[in-house]
Amino acid sequence: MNDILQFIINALSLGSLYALFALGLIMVFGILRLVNFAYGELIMVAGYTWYILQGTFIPLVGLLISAVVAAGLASVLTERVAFRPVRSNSMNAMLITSFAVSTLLQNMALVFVSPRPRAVDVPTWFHTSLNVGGLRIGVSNLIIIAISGLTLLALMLLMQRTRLGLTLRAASDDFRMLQLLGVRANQVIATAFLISGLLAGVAGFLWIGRIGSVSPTVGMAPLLVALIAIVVGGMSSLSGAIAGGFFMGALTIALQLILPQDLLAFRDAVIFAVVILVLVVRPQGLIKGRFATERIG
Amino acid sequence: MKLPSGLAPRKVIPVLITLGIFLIVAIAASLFGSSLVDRITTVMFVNVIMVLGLQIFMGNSGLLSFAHVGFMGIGAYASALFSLPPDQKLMSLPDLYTPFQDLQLGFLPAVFAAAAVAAIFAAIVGFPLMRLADTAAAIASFALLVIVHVVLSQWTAMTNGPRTLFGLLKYTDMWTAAIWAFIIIVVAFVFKESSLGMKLRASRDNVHAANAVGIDVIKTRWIAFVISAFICGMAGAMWAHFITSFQPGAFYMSMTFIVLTMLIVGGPQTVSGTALGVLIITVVSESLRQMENTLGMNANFPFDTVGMTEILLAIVLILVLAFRPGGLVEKTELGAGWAKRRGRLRRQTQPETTDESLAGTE
Amino acid sequence: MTLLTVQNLHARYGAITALKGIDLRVEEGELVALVGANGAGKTTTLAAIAGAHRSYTGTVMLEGTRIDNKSSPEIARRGIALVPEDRGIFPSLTVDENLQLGSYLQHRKDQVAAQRDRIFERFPILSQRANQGAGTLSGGEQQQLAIARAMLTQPRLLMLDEPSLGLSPTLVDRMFEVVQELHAEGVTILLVEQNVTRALDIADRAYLLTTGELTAQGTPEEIRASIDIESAYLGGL
Repeated sequence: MNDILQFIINALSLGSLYALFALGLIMVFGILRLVNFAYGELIMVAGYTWYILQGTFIPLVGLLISAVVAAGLASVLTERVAFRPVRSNSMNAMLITSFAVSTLLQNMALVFVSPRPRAVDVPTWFHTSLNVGGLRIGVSNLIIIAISGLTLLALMLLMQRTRLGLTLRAASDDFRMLQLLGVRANQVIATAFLISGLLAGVAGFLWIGRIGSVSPTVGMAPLLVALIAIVVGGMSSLSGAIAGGFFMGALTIALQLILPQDLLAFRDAVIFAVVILVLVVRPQGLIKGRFATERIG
Repeated sequence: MKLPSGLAPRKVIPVLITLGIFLIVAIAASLFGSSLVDRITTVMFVNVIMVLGLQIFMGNSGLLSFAHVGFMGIGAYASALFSLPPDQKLMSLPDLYTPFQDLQLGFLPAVFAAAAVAAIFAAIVGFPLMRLADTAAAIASFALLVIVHVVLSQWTAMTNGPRTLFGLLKYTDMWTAAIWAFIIIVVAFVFKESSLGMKLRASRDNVHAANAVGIDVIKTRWIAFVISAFICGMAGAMWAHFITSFQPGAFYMSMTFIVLTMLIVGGPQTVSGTALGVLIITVVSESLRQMENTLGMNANFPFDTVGMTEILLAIVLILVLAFRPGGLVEKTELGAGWAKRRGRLRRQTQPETTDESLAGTE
Repeated sequence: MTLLTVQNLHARYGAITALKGIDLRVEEGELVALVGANGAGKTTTLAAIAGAHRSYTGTVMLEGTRIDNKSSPEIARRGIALVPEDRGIFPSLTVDENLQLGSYLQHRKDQVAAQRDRIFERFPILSQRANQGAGTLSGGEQQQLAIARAMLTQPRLLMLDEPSLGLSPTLVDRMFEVVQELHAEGVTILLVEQNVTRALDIADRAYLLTTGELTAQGTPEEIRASIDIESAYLGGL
């Protein structure tokens, strides 16, 4: 019984983090049909912001906020500088641009900070655990679940209850029509990038707190996770991305328990084979939703 | 005498121009005689093979592929398995399965066998992928790259895992690479003008129209995918026998970035453009690398310098995508426009000596 | 002053020429019909005016101000509303949310509320379905929603692309009634229709478009006459 509860908590914690990663990626994809390969580097930006500002007077919450804001700004900046000029060209041009932006940001970290991982000061209580009726619950898991949960809730409120959310949802339905109603494309797209960056910031801060250090390639793993999650989720809706994120979290924890060590090394290969299979056999996703290959706008 | 339409001046002249440029580079490099220049030029010729391999698929089909550097990696590792001497294998790959232990082929057989392995792998995984459109195709090819990377870095018995695989014999020299690059340049031109290449280009420009005139788009893409994987596998094998020791990390994101940069900057739709892209990016990045090293020696310079080359290349790539998305040589092959204009002029002034009328008199 | 003037409009899709020099005008308060066979370029004309199709040459003026280099949001903000052929409703949004986006540019809440009341009066079905997903509406309901949403933008010029397309005969009747009512209220309308007879019945003036060129223009009677002559030669429209 305790094992099951333990599994649920671990899966929820990792899953909620993965759901945030996936949401950040689908936010931009939903509107531009662009898989932003530079998304992982926004997580890296959050990590380096933490690393650079730590040890100053700023408290941990302040570091979190700074990291989130930095990731959001970086996202908007990449849109303005790199993606906007390419937007009217082909889909491939956009994808390759995002790949170039990813390389650019990674190498800037390499040059201006260091190629080696840098430790962030994670408070010691983060890695302790509470004993609740014989069940050991990691503080890190609780914090990740709480912050991710709040962020998910805030995002849902934003999307469902505000004018901004309304335009973003409409844009992913039919961007051309939204423009015919007088909504300016640049604003919508910039907002989508901002939200994507903020999500990457929150999730990235938690992710880097979990692993304890930041390196130029720290964003690679979250990018891959987010990519799988949105494919599994059908690449069309926010709820699909969330479901895909939790699915990936549960799957990762489950495979860690089930697979023997030497096969565990091939886990990612197996998961990516599933991605290809899903794309080919069930493009609408494992969970639900529809898949649109056309890009509008 | 009537020239076959494949040998019309506007088709032949670009091939000659491209070959000429690279021949001059090869001769200049061998006359220069510095080992650094020799190394840079050899890698450049291997890259010509690699990037043209990618161009055959991507340039003609218009589909983005991230997977081809994976095929290059497969070619490199497979050629190592085929060519390492048995006693060296005991040291480099101690856990190797018995059937492979005594296997040793010569250089060229090993290169072709390795390329065939890459092509067979591409044929198997490629078939379902060719059905996908746009973004889905790009994501799937990216997933394929990750899969190849994971397998190369985890299948310790065959690849020595994430550690360096060492002990390959150095077979590839500058002229070997150059001659194979010349051959692949011709192959890429011939492919583009072949009926297969034409069908593929038709499907790139309008997939519905191509289907409507009876082109089996999926099959056409698939054949091109396999051919291009073969050439990329070859490039990997040649590279492996030049570098002689390498890790799986060599065939991942940064290599993909360089290869895509060369292709996009040069112009993916043209063979001469693609080849020129390799030359230009090699010159630019090697010059930057020298500056990087000089700056790195300077104790007063406040930053690490490794990575600056990539930063500048990324900026160049983004600028090209924004302002010249077709690349430097966009649609008309180098020299083809000139040959065409000249041909038209000649026909206008001397109508009786056109190819067609000559053919009639013989 | 003439509300909309289009001069020498040429448009192409890749290598295919869709429009070969169109000149047309719409006066304030008019109902102008643009009729022609399938593929004649009617939709392209509307898309070009609305800025949704940008690869064209020629002049488009709204009250004497050139709008032909403007993007579709800017043109919408100047008061041209397009109800596209596919209706362009947002299927994952509710009916009410679709209508809210129609009022996106209006900032006075009391005015928006008054306009919505009027819209619901005209299209009572929309008020019943306000909280339903717009994707679940029937074709006729979607068309009503699309027109209602366009009216909420308070357009100076309403452009309707094949509003009767895919509707049952009774709904077609209702749709033409709606267009006529809007016209009677003083809304300026540019109507594109394949249903030539019905469109000419309600139009003040009309243009006949044949494979990218205007082949006739004038009063509905004149267009009817020229269609008769043409069909005598071509064996039907």
